[in-house]
Amino acid sequence: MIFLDYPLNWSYNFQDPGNNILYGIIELHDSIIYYLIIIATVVFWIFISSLYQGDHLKYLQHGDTIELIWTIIPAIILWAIGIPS
Amino acid sequence: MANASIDISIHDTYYIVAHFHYVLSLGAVYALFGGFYYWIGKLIGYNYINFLTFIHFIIFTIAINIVFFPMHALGISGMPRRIPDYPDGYLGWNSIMSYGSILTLFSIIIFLFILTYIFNNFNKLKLIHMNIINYNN
Repeated sequence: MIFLDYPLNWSYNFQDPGNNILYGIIELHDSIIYYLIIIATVVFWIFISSLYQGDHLKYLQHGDTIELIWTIIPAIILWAIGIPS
Repeated sequence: MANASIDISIHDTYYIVAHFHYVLSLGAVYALFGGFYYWIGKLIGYNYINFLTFIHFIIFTIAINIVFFPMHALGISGMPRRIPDYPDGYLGWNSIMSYGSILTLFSIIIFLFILTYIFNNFNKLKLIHMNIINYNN
């Protein structure tokens, strides 16, 4: 049996899956997007609240610990995204 | 795209185009504008107009997001890269992107106006005193 789908106006997701493999890929994509929305929310929250802080330039230099953290954690996240493939 | 299995289904689609345009437009072009506004005072000794710069930033941000965000939706529903035509199912988001590109042109016109205004109206602009700029206060 052949399943065919076609692009629809204002669609914002994958086309309907024709077999189980694409169904699993869509599942994986959606679970990654779930964590992406959490991370993006936290990042934007910190970003915009730091703009309203006023003296955020004061803490712009000499942060070795935070630089180590925000280098290693995204590396771990990228590894966690790549491994399921 | 980090996941090779998902990358198979979005490879060579507009999702990729959206991705690298976000990297270029929101990375390089923002850095370019930021560098211009940061150093123009040091280059010519007069400051830019703060209000128009703010308007330029807001309109540019809204415009490029209208242009490039719908590309994710197009790519994930399968619109291929490097093919100049597309089926009617992609018309909706593509028309939104066209309106966004017109808005981007408008923001560039504002930027060019700021540029010409700075270099033609030195007598109206604020003179910068270099010595008192201290970014570590």
